[in-house]
Amino acid sequence: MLILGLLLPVSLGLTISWLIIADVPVLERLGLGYALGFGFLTLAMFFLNVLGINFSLINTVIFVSGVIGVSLMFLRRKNWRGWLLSARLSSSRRMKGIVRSLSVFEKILIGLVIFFILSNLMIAVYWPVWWSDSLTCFDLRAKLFHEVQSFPEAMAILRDRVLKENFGFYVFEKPPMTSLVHTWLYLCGWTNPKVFYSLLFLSLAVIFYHSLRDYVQRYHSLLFTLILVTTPYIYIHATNSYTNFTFAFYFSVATFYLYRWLSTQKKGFLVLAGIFLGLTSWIRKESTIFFLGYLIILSFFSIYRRRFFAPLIFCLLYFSIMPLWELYGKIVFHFQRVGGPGGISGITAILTMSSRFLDFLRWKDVLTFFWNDILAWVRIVFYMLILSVLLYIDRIRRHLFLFLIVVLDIALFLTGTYVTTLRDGFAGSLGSARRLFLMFLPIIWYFVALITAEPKSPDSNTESVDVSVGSRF
Amino acid sequence: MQFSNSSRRIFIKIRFLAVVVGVLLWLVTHQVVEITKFSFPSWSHILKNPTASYDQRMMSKWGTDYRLPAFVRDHTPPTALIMYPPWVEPWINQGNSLLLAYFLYPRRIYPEDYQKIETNKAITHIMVAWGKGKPPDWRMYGWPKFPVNARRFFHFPRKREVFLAQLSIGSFSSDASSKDVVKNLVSYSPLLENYLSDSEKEVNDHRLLQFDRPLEYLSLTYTSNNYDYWTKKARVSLTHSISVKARVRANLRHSVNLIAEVAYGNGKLAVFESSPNGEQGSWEDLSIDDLYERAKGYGASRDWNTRKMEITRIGINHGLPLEMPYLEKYGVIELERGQERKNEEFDIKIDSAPIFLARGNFYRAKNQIKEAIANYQLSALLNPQDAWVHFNLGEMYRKQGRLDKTIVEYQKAIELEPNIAWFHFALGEVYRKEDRADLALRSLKRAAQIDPSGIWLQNALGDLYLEREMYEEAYGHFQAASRYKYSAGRRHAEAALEWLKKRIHRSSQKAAFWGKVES
Repeated sequence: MLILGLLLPVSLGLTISWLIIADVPVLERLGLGYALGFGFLTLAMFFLNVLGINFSLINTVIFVSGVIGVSLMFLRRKNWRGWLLSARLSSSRRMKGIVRSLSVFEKILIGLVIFFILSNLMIAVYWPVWWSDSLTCFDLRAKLFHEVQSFPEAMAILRDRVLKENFGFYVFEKPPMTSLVHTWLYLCGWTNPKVFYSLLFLSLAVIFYHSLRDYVQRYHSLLFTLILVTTPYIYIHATNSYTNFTFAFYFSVATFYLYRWLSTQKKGFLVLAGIFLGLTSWIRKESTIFFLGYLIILSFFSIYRRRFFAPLIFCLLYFSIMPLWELYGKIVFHFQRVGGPGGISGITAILTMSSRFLDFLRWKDVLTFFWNDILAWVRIVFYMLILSVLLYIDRIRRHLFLFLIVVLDIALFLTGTYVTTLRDGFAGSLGSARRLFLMFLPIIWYFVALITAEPKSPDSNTESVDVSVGSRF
Repeated sequence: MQFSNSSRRIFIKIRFLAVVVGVLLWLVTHQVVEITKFSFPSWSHILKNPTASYDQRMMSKWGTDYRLPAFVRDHTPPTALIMYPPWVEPWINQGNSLLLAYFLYPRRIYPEDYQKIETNKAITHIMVAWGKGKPPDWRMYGWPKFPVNARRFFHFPRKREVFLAQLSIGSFSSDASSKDVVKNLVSYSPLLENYLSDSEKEVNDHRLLQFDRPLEYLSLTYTSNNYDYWTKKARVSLTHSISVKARVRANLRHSVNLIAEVAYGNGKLAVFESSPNGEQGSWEDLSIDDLYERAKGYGASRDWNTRKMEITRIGINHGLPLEMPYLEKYGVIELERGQERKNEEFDIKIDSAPIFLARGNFYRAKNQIKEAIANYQLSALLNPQDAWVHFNLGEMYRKQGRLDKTIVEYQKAIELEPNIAWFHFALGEVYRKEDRADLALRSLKRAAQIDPSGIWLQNALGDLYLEREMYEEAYGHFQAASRYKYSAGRRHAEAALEWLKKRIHRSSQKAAFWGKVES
């Protein structure tokens, strides 16, 4: 049963990833499969309940197995068995070749990455869910879901049985993905759902490595994977069960694939970017504002490259997931107010506040707050970003869109912080803002790794990608 | 300015080396150090306790804030409805609704509202929480500070130690000839034996110590202690000059008293108790000097033959409940709701004060006031030093509307335990009912001196000042009460504050009043 808890989502994710994109390395596919699998598994649980069926273990297994079966039938036409066999053979041969070709430095880097990830896994699995908000919101909700396997019944239990005060909104307003992951793992007999976060950390390392590997030398990619894995703020959050790390994972992976689509225009990357960004809204409410930022960049790019359907596909994928919980909250739970500053209703709130945006003194306070308080634990990453930009200013043009993404992300984050401080004050916004900034760390490292890399040697077995925009602009 | 090709190449190499070497150095020095700092305590704990249970792991992260709900969980059924402390300092975590909802799941929780304890029969338990952190006033520690009709009280294991010397029985009159009658029972074996008990305990140590005089040492750890009698057999005729004495030294105040069992002519037995020890860690003399009179009075009230009375056992009650449950710091009280009892539970073979107190509580919960009073009265005869018996009697008289008797009983309770704020508060409330505002104010003020943290007290004082149109004082008390989140009393305080604000705005005192409030 414990194995089923991981195997079924991974199988689902692998199947979906095969449907989306055929040619990705085996390890990256496993990482993709894991992340997509849990995302879609929780969506499956949600839809089951929307159809009036409890998301019990059996119901979910039957439903997800059905989805996998249908997908495999569809893939059959693409001869997936043959592909799987060849992928296995070629990858096992490749793995041997890769291991032989590793330098001592690279072997040390790989050893260190494995060590830190294993250490992370051990710490995550040993300690139960214990951070305050994870207990009082996400895991409490998971306990309720686990008991009744239905959202309305869980809400009823919370309102009528567990707490006399009305905490229904507080507990249920947040998107349900991590709670549903916990629920699923509890249903499968896991006593500690934190294994999910640590394996997600592993997936992040793998996807980050492969997303870099397309552009840079192996040792460079490995070095920055190690830096990512040892970034304390990421590492600590990956051993715990706040939504911030999960959100950071899906958001940064969406960014990597978006950038890879901008560089290669492989449709699969765009689909993955749209799905991953959609899944961020299934974890936290803050994604919409960043989605709009990405949409602007995407639209800009699409017009110049005459890829007019790209923004449409991106929007379609994002909006097929984003409004689900908000609508459900309004229709089933009768919530009047749903969404934070980054959600749809939050965007409306931002627009209504726009007249207050010209308070330059407040902007100065927000910037000071950002630098002194929000960046307090990750300032060194920011120093590295600034230093890299200054030293490698000549290479920014090669990765201009990624640079724009980073700048836009930070600008939107500052705007969000500005709005939040208007509502909650500086002290009230600090904890959330600081944790939310986690989402940019992998992207910043990705950008720093790309612009500091030595150009890839022509004999590399991965195709060299021209990501410059000089020819066009 | 243009770089030459060779300069450019050199710049690129230096730049690359600087970044890669810089990053490596930084990685080693900063990130790995940070991660090690984070991971090391975890690893150390994992290696030392690889098989630690869930509770042990959570306790090492949350300390008492987890230990308490885990203890409550282990001592309550899954269907329990548990009242918990307010969500303010010093109960920020111990009174956090959502944390408790999680830790106690699937048990239900109920926010502080002492008035609902009587009316809402669904509430089955009350948490006892001392609190953590630094509250503005140390007297805030400890909850609940209101009386609870308890059936059982499970608390964190608490070690009780007592040294007993000169446990004696006999005539202590100044007449020289009568001194021969005195028997020191500590000086010879056997040791005290556990006689009657309603407790959960572990005996740590029990032995005779020989110093300049023989001492009996008893060390027990209780998780529940309604009463726990440790006695020795005796056989002394009870006459009016006979009394029972002992010297005790206990590690807790109000944790031990002296007991004597009297056999009546009809074979019936009753246990009489002395006042409890009043100090911790110092030697005190305890005695039952009026045993004969009390035994006679008790026998008469039970229609027993009092002509031939005999002391059959003497000893100590080492399981005496502390003055207030919160002094045990942490635990859970099961409320008396008149639950079904097994026959033997109320089949009294030996009369004792705690049993009658429990019976009184049982009838009180069933709203059988007369039966409750009868049992409390018997309890008061056996142990007239128990302030709670008098307080409960007062409560029953209040329910009957006999306020004069209520006041007398409350005053007796205050005389015995002058430092329990609730007794003064209850007396003040009765005075308020009787329109004796000055007396009411005096009692409520005394309660506030002892413990200003009770929301009930602040509201009562606020109401009283409001009645006297002393708005400034009323405002202060309602404001103090309104800081208790999710507490029923808070709603009363907030409503009063709103009313007060409107009222003050209209009045001529406005400027002066708000000036003072703001200052």
